[in-house]
Amino acid sequence: MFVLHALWRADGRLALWAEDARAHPGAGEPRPDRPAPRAHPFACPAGSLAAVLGGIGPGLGWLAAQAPERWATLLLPTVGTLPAPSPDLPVTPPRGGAVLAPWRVPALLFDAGAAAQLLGEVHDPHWAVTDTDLPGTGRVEVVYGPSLRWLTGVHDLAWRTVGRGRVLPLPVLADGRPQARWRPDPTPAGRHEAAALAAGCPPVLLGEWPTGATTGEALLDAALAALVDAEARAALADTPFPDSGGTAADRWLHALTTPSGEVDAPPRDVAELRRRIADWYATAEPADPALRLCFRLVEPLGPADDGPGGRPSDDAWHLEFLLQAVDEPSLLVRAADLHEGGAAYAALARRTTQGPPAAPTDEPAGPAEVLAAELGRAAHRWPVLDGLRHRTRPSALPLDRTGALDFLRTAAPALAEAGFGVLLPAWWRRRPRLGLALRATTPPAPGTLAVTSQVDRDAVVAFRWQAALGPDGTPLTEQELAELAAAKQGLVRVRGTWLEADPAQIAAALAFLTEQRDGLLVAADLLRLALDPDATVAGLPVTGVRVDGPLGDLLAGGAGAAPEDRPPPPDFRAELRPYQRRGLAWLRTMSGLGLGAVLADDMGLGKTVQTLALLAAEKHDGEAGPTLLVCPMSLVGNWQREAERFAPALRRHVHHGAGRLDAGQLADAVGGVDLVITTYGLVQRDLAALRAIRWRRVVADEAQHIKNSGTAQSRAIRALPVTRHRIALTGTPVENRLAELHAVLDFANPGLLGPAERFKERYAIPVEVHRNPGRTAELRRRTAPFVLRRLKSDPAVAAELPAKQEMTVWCNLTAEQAGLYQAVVADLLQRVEGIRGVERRGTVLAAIGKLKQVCNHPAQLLHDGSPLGERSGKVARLAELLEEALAEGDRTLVFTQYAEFGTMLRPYLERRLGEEVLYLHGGVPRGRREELVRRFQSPDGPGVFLLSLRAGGTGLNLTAANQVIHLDRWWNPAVEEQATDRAFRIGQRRDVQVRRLVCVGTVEERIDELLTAKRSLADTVVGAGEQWLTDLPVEALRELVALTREDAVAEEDA
Amino acid sequence: MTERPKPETVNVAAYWRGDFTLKTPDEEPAEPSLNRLGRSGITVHGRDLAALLAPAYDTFRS
Repeated sequence: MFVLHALWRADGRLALWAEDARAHPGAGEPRPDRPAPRAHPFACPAGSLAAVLGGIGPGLGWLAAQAPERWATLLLPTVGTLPAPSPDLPVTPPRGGAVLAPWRVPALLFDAGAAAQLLGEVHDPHWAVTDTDLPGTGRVEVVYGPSLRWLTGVHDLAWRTVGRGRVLPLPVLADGRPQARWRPDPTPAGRHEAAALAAGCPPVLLGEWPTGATTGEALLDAALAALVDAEARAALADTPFPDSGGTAADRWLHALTTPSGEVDAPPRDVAELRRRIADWYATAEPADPALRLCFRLVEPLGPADDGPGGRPSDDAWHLEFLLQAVDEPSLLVRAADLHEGGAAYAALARRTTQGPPAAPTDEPAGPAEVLAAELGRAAHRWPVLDGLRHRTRPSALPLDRTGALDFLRTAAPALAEAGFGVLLPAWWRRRPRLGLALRATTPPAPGTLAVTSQVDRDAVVAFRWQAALGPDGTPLTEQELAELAAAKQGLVRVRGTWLEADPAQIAAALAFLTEQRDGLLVAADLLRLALDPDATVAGLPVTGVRVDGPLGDLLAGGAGAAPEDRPPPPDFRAELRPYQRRGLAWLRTMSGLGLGAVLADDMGLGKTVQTLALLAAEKHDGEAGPTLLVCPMSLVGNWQREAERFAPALRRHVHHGAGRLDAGQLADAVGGVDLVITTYGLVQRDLAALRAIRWRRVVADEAQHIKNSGTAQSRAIRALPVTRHRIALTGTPVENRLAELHAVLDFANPGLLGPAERFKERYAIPVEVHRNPGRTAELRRRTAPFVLRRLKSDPAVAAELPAKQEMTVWCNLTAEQAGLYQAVVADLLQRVEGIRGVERRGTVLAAIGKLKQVCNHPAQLLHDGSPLGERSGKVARLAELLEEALAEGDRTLVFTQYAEFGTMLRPYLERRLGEEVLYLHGGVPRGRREELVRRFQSPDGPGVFLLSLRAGGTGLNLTAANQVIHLDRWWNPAVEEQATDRAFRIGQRRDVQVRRLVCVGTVEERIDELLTAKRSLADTVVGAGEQWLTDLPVEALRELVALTREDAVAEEDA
Repeated sequence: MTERPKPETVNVAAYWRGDFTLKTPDEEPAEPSLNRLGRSGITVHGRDLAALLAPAYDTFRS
């Protein structure tokens, strides 16, 4: 009797051998003890085995005749000096415990094709016994041993798999040689069957010595793959793909039907083809559209460093599998729990059966089956998963550090792209980088240059570099860096934080720290390092900068962390509110540090007065040097008046108008002044003269004028030499317009934030479009030290403001306005000489009315319907104020006493602002009037409401407005008050700002003086209206109406 | 001198037999793998690979 055994060898061939009962030596027969591996004493010689096979049937005989004879070595149970017979061999087993020992057996070898034929011939699920007809002996019983029967089972599965078309062709590299292979793609039932076979694999099949398969899964995988490929080739033997040469794909296709499967194409091309085909397979429909396979990479867990078990192994990673409900992502069940039942499992199971299938599929929908099928699909993207295909209950894949890194780097993105869920450790998303952290101290260490208590940008600070880790820049000790260097590459755990070690970076850090660990640095360079998120040193990112002193405070807390507030000097004639004193202190700090400052307070919060207070404080402290203030033409008068009013000690010069000084004169004049006021237009035009002066400071008011850094005007103002620093003033909320923000900051601190394009690339889309919180925070961190912005709605600021804040806004006349104004004055003075009584009164009132019209706009006087254009300083200022108010979300009432002016103004403002402007005047019927009020009061109503004083000054409730502008002066302040109260009344929840626009040096200014400075007198004198004017003597009248100031006119082209 | 570790004893019957059963599986309806895939985007002689492979799957199932 013979018992046939099989072995699936590591070389992919089937080895067949047999025990011969007749050769069994019997119990107690002594055997010499020879060194292992010894020849099996009752194994059948190969020739006899061929005869046994031939005696079973001609097919097997033919296969045996082709098979080479070889020795195979395998581990067998051994008792004493003999191998234990297999249980099917009818001999008496030896007594005693068996241990495994290697034995050499004569075998016949069959390649995969022959093995498939042989196993197919032998397969019989019901009977394990046959007989053979041996020449000279007759019929002898033959038993198919379990190892052979197991392989027939694997082959049968392979045969059915091919017969159902459940195969996929793949290019592979075997021993570096390109091959075409048919791979199994089993059905769920096939997977079950394979898993059962793998689990029940007879251990003798794993006994190839010295190197055999280590697990049933691995053996089954190897045998099934080889047998499927062989069966597929056999099926296609009569209909091969033609050998048409050409591309790697051509040759690979042909090789799918050749006996060897070898592909005659460069391995690189075949690898690329494999990638494309794997991508194609990964696009296959999911096994169940209701469920999604997820992968979760889990770090090594275990006892802490000081725990009883010591530190967990850094190589004990594992990849956990989970199933997720597509329609309820929070329903996530671990694969390990799929067989445990429970509520979550039941919820998943319901989804697999309730929903209609997205496409016809043969896949049964149990969660475990879905898991297995999806693992197979995922294996196309990450072949490492191939090894799990035949595991009974795949739940996780153990990985070492190299495997984990491979998953993180390559598999995770590929699997995610194919639609699988991928859950990675949080640190991988914000991968800790090895970098350098800087610690700087002021004053420097003993022996270096001393630094004053007021650090400036040229101050020298002492620094020390340290290697650092992670986004927080946690410094590493030298010991930790050395450990990192020892790890060389891969995933390394330092201080409980994992990172991907980069040998080049570690070497760079070591080299840099050896050479340049300590030194001295000027504050400006330190700032650049601290604020540039892309800053690198020696090719390593700068992960953190820590500085002490005022510079450190500024970097840590931004502009909000300004030092304690400072009162203005005693000769400053304005009471600063607390937030304005903080602003002054911040401006002084920035000046001291030589850093540019952007004061971006809301309109009406006093940017002008804070700036003037800075200049006054410096003058008081003896800090000399001229400040050049650049503003729009419409603001020249305002600056001049505010400077006169609040800081009379400042020596001023206005560089403006046709009679302005030439270069030489200007240089001489500037030598003795503190403040030079000029316009943006003139900076460009007189750049040569202005560049010849070394300015202590350049202030750009309404800095949105330089928002386009490419214009000649912007380039000109940046070209002005500055010894101390620059200030930008703007009420426009530039933080919402990043291009403007960069332009304004770049004016204040040239180059500090890098080129505009890079800034835009880094922040424009992430912040403006995606509202990326990380980038937003980074942007804030970088810009905060340089921008001080307070909103009038800030509770702290609002508490310091009066509910109604009244301001005079000074405007200039254009040259056209001035010419007309003087003509009206001359005519008046000439005409009043010879007239009296009613005629005189009429003439004076008419002339004053004309003068007020001129102050508004020349077209109002001329009644010629001419376009408004840029012909009025007041209209220009009005438009600027309205733009600013709209940008801040404010809504404004604009009052004029002239309905005609309102009619002219409305279309102009609508064009300029790009918004609807409501207009109410005496001619508006009642119904329409109510409609206008209703619209303005509605939450999304227009932002500007123009009203004639007579029609809109009383009776209306317009509390949606928090800004009121009086375009022209009314002799009776009570009328203005009543108009203002349309907004400032019960129902108003915000503070109200009231502005009166007054032209410098005109009758408007005289009236304003009467109405404000001499309020009590004005109440008695002018309370009755305009009548008193008409009785003034000629000289007094001349004083009242004359254009008295040289600075009354501001015109860009003067 | 160190003591050589004693080899583990093995269950002879289990070593040879394993734990499996050969079955005659029921006829299982199955859709060929190719049917679950769309076009490959890989062209051979002007034809998509999926179309070129289709006859092979017909042969497997015939």
